[in-house]
Amino acid sequence: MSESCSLWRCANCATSHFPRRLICPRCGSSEGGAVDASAGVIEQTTVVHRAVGGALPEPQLLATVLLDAGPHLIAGLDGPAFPGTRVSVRVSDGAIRATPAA
Amino acid sequence: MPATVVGAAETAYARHAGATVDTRAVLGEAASLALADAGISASDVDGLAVASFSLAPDHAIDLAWRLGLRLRWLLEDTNGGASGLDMLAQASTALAAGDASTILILAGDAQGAAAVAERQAAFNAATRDHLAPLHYGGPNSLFAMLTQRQMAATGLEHEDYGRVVIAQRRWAADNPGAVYREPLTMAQYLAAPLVAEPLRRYDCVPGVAGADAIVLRAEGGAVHVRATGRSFNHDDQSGDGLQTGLRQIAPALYEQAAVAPSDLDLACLYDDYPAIVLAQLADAGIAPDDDIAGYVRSTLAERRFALNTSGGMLSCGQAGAAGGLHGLVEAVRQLRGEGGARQVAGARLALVSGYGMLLYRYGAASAAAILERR
Repeated sequence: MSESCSLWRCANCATSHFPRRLICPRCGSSEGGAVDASAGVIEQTTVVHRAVGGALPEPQLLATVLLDAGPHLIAGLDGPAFPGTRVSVRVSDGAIRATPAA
Repeated sequence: MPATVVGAAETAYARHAGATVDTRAVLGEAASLALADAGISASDVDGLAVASFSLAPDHAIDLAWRLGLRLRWLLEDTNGGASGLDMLAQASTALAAGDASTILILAGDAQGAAAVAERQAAFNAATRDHLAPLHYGGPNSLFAMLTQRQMAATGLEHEDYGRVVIAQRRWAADNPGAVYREPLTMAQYLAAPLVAEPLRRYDCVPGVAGADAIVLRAEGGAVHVRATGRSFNHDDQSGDGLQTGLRQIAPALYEQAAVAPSDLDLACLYDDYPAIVLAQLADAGIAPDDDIAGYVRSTLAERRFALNTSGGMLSCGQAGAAGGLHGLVEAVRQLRGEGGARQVAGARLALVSGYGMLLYRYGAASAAAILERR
């Protein structure tokens, strides 16, 4: 099941944050709400081969994504892509996924 | 700041021992060793600080009971890799205020790989909710991407990280307490299995079971705490993680101790990953911001500066929260002239740092101290 990835957007100063904050770190307002993080740009990627305790069932491709809305997030990456590649961002089965733009 | 170290100890660190060794047992062993080193008994202790990831369901007071300590000052510190130096700072303040006269500082963990993986997956709510579902494999993947950012920003190359690891391994050869003491070549370093690109096996701190302890008194010890500093959530996770909280701590630390980075005889900087060692070297003003790579190649690789002389956690292993005290114990040993074959000649002044608590993309807690032999 796929759904949009939510950021928290301050109602006062309009900056967006991820994960959500209790109080806006920029202006101090506690008023805000969810907005969709639909797209961004890959900054770094890595392939995780091993976890503590042993090898993973399969290597996991991860990316640090700078969202158009401002904040960074870390996502599972659907297929190899270089830094600078634009991605769309969704949440699938509780996991943030980034898909390289076609 | 009237605080002196009167006792220091580290248990044997054991790899793959988490299932057979108990956290309480290693903390108790470290306490006994440190009290013996100080030449005092449990009845002399009136303050206790402890940091551990695996003390639950117990708390600090349970440990006081199990150790037979009757106290008027008690602290349980939850700042991970920064907890050791944070406890040192808080204990120093308590001694100065007269809240206690003799404080035992303890840190340690004995957890198997499965328990460590479970802890990492639920390290905080952000990790549980946003990283664990990605099968992110623990902090290695986060520091892999941080290392890439550092390489892009500084010109550091794979071999430079290897130079850090190899130099520390050379120190470890002369430390009977190090888990990994055999020499490491650049070819071996570069050929090691990938963990999370670009990090390979020797870039990632190995987990061990063990504990460290320090005994602090206002006076009476040869090693004086000259300055302490702490930083929490230094940039709100809004940066790239290439500067640690030590950047904010360092100026006041040197001012308080009335010394300069060039006065240091050695440094024990928190080394969960080589990238964090290098970030802190610049944060502490030991290495130049504009030529960290040159510093690695000319100074660190040749061991012209005594950095992580125990071999660091990268060679000794990370015993959970004990990692935050490991560098402090090593610095005390060096300043007392007890470094054995790895003794830094004439060591008088040391900088020690701790770093930890990944909030989402990188660590957010730093603590540091300057120690002097008098």
